[in-house]
Amino acid sequence: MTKGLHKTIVSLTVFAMTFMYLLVPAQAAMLYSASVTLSNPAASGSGTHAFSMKVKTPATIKGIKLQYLKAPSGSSQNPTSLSYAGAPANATSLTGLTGNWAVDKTTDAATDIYYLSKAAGDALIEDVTIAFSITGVGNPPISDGNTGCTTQTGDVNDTTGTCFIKISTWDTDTIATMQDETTNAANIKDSTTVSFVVTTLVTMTATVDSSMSFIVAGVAAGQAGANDAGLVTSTTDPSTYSTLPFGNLTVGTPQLMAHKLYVKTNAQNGYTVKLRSTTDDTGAAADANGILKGQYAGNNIDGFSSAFGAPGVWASPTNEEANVNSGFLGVNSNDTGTIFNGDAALKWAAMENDTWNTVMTKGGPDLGAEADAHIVSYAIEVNVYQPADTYTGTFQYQATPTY
Amino acid sequence: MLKIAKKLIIFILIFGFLFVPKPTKANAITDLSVSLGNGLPITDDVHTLSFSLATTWALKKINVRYHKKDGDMNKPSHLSLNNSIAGAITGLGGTWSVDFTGAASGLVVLQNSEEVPTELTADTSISFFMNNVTNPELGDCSMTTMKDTCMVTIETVDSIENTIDVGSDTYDISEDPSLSFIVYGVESGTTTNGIVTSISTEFDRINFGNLAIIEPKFGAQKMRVESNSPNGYEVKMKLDGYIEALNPTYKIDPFGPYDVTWNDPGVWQSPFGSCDEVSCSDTGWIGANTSDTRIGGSWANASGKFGPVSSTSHLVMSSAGRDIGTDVYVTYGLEVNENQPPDNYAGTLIYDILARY
Repeated sequence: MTKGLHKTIVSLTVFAMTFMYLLVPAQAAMLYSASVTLSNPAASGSGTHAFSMKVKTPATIKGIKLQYLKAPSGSSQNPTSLSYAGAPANATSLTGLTGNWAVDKTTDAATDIYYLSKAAGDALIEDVTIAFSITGVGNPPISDGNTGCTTQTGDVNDTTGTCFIKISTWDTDTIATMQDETTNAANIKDSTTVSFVVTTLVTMTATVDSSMSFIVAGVAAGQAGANDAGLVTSTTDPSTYSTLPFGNLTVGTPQLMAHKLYVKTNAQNGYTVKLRSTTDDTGAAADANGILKGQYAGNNIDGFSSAFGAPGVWASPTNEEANVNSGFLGVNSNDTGTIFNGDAALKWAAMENDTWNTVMTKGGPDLGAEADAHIVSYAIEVNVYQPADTYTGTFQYQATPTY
Repeated sequence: MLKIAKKLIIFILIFGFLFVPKPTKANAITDLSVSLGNGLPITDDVHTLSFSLATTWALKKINVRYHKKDGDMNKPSHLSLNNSIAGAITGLGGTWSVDFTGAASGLVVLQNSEEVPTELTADTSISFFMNNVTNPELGDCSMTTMKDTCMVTIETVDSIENTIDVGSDTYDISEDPSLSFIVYGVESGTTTNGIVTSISTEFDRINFGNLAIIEPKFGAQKMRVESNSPNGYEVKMKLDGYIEALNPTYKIDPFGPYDVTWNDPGVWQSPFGSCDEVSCSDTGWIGANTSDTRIGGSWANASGKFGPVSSTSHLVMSSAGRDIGTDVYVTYGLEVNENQPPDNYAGTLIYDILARY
């Protein structure tokens, strides 16, 4: 009898303890390593909200509740402009979860609470990572009002806004149960709150202007190999950007001077640099009135005997008539894009009055670096029939880009 | 006579030793609780401890040990008792005081100054509080998330270092998540990370203006993050596509000298590319530098260096844990060569911050 009574008491005690244990609501643990990644963090933009977290409480999870908030407190206002309207029927990109997790985007849409549910649930163990994505989510704007994510203290420009999402996992897929957290706290297995930031997009702008610069540089005296003919420039004076001082000429001895030309342009179709003599503006053809004129009327030095279109090897003037081919001024360029290419690379051509002739050209942009520069050389020579005098002339360059 | 006295003393010692009461096994302290004022991580707080003795005994001291968790008796690394001040002790006599000598290891001792301790009866309720206890950081004890659970173990000890009663209780440290991310414009002439900016920017606009051939321009944005996320955060930057011209076949490429990647940035160089009949390649470059050395790798020492800016997200700012507010400059460089077609170019830069809780 005593033994039977003892057994009964033990059984009742065990039963009572078990029953009491079942009545005590389990406290939800914290989901951890939790985050939400926005594929497009732009304020009022639209994209995917990708959730990831680790489970703390082993359980079969049938429901997941996502509550969007303006502040971390669960009783906080929701950002009313957030929208799941474009979300698909099921969550995507599942990790740790299987099958179809249906997205309820209507029941509590007004308060931005969304539910994921699966009747069979997924049995999850502690520390397992679960992840899921909701596509087509419309982000809230940046606003301290009810519509948006809250601006930052001290951010005078309201560059970003912060919102929060309270995430809880449930052992039920019944939406009505998940709606009432107070009554049904025992059904919550884990929970946490994460934050996300919506940002202002930054506009980057730049203007690449059409650019063209043309530099004429003097060449030092006595410089060997100043052009591709390997000639030596005059040993008397250097040229400057605006002068070619050939100095005192000795009969039968040609003098050489040069200019170095730089073009820097982003003209996609390149450019040309042309040259003409402006010594005579009477409209007379070529060098009829000379390329250089003396102090005394009628004294002049003509262009080289080879026309610009057909350069020739340098030859001393041989005509025995004063001022008619008794002196020559010739031009050469080391730009093989011009007439001075191939066999003509080392030849000379006449400078011509009022006629533009190309001395430098390129079919595309040019950086204008040293390696891109070209030498335009000038040679002058007189014979004994050239009257003694001081001769001067002018010429000009013209650089034209083609865009 | 001396011999008899000697024997008598030995007899008394042996007899006395045999009859000194010794506990056979420590009993469990009851009603143990540790309550915190605010429970916020790494914040000065008030800790109130209360418990009841399980054994009637003459106690010399009571050890209160703050530790990480069951089985790990190490002090939570951010917990500090160094500036703690004890309040009045209830349930013990005036001979008891609080000793913080062992604070560095998380030990607080209630010390009885009586030579021969007075016996305390079982069920005696004892409580005391301490001000200015710096709470542990989230992750110091059990979990690195927005709530962590740490432990306090109390043991009562007699005059000969016997443990009489022992008990443990947990306390929670928790905090609501917070995250602040602000983007600022930066004035021209600002030295960022070995780079002097040549244009002024705004929080939502980086206008490089008119570009000359082979003349780079540099503009920066400053960003500030405050986050209590114990697992830190990442800020990434990317372009929404390319910086494109009004003629969409023209674009600015990511900064791309042969040996440069985002993880292996290089000093600024001029673009060296050209165009064919269809398109241009590497005729204009957009690159970026971040001053945040916490990213590690080559960015730990990347003054004046740049990596490519593209539609691939690149890390420009990061923290492995809580950040009470860090400013970082992200500096952008843009340069074109002679082959970059003249046009108006525009692109959209996107910043994204990810906090892990």
